[in-house]
Amino acid sequence: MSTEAVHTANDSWWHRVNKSDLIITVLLLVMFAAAFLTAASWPALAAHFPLGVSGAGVLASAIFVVRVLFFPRKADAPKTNIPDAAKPMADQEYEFFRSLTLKDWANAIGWLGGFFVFLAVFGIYVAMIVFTVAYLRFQADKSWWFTAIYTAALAGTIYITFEVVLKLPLPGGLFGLA
Amino acid sequence: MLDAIWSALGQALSPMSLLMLLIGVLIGFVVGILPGLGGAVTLALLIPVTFGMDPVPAFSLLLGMYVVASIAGDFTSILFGIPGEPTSAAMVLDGYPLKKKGQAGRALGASLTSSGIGAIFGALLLMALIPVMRPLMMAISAPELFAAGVLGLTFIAALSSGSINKGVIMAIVGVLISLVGIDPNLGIPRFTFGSLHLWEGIGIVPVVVGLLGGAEVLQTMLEKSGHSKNGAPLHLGGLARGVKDSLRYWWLTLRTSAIGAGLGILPGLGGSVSQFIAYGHAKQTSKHPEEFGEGSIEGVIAAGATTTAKDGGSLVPTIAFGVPGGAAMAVLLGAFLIQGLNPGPEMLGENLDVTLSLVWIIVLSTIVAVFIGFLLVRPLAKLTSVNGRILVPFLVVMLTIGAFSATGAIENVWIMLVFLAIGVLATRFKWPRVPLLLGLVLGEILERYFIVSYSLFEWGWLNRPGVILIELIIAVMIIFTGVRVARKRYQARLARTMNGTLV
Repeated sequence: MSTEAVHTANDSWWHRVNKSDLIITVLLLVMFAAAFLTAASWPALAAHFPLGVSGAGVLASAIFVVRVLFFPRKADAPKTNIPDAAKPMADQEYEFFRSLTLKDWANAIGWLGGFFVFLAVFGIYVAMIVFTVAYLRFQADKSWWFTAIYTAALAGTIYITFEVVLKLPLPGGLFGLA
Repeated sequence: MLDAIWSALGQALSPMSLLMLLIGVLIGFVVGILPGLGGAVTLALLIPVTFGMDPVPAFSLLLGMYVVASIAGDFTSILFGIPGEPTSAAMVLDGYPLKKKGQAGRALGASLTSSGIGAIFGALLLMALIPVMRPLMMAISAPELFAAGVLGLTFIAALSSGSINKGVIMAIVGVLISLVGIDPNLGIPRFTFGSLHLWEGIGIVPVVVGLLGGAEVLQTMLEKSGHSKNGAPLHLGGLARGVKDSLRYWWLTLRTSAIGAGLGILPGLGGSVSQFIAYGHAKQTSKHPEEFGEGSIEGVIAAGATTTAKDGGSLVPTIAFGVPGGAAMAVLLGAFLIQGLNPGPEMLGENLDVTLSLVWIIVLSTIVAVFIGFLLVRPLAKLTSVNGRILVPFLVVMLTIGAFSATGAIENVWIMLVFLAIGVLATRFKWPRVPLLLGLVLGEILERYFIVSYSLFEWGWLNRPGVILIELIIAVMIIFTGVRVARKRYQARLARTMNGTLV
């Protein structure tokens, strides 16, 4: 394909439409519409404000859908060799998350999901100890000694701060282990 | 009055008061650094300790802790990107990027100095307003509070990171989320989906912790190298530079302190709103608005000054009328009653020395906190220079306890997780997160005061002098934003044309 043909294809209307913005805005439009319909069934005094807010949401997202679809962004600027550290912070974060593979996401969701499942079932202390040991040992490749000292220090600090000094409850899970 | 001021200073400087103040400051540091464990909860926990104490030592403990918790909350925002307090959320926006650039010391120095100036400004305002406190409060009613809420919404443009459309939509999502719970007028559950927990509504703490802190924790987990994101060395020598920055931008520090203290006076608006308004104002009036969100020292100064200036302001309605401006002030009001002090004319007459001692307590605790803060900066900042992966267990536990501790409900942890996902998606697809927070904190206020205003005055409230004044400010703000956006677009078009010519 010639350079001109590639350029034309990249400049096509559909190519320039930001698909993620489109999907997110359509989802929000549906959410606002559902909220509007739900609020319409409430008595007037309880419904006025939610109707106004969800109506404004429908309007704002509809306008943005039109903008995304019919007034799409200009063609992508050519890639530059600006170093990451010199790019705006929002761009750095955006590109960081964009660069992640499915495996990265599965890895993060697995670790976080595991922690919160343990939290729901066994409470904060068991979840904290199991997560800290497993994460430091197998993800961060730390020694058993380091892992043991870190875990004891973290659990001890949390226990002394919340149970002994402040006497504040912490999540105990299904078995009330806190 | 002058005699009362010196007498109050004498009481605040008594050995017992100073001891209580020091204990309060130390507790405040711990509470402020731990996300979610707000000053209000700790005030409630400390009240039993004050039984039997004289009023001034008791308030040295309570108010000393409360003021310092706000200052220390900014530490966590700057160092870890997780707000230590809901009122420290705006500090994340520029404090954390500065830390990522290796300028943690500069950010902490600027935050501590501006917080110190803000607290003293708020306290002096409280003192200055004592003679006119009651007539001033009588002039503020639901319509003025509603108008102030609308004024807050006009800052969406400044907080939208470049896309006003997206910012407006996110703010509306925030307002909609604020409507979850029991309707305040008829007691009807709204958007609760059969969950009893949602009857209480969605609190600000799990939202702030998840939305702002969650994405940072996930980013730390996923860093391939396991080191800080840009590898910039942590530079603490900038501490003095941060102090100088706060003094160099003295006019900004004073303006944002005034915004914090002024909005603190309005019951219900509180620090969660004023920090974003002050931050938006700083961005709108800055010569370098493009630096905001990228590590602007002006953003840090605005957020820092507002965090503490609101405390003096929020004491005004509490003392003058017994009308607490927020949860913490409601708890403090309980402490007043336990001490046998009746908020109202008594606090401005026979108990004037106690009222004035509160001013001195704020000033003294701020000075002590800033001093201790400078001592603590180095050891705390060392935490951020360790391998990012090592911090992950600590940060995950902080997120969890932060979300849970606000009300002691596990459901708040799940809510935090939902907002963590929203925060990550928003970052991944370049949708601004802060307007959602602004909408959430303003939504409830807007509904409550709109309904009350309409019930009392129908549409006649639009002509009240205070409302007209705020309407004028709103009009100026909109015109100002419009001109700024048009100028920016013109400059961008000009730059494109010039590039085209050069090519």
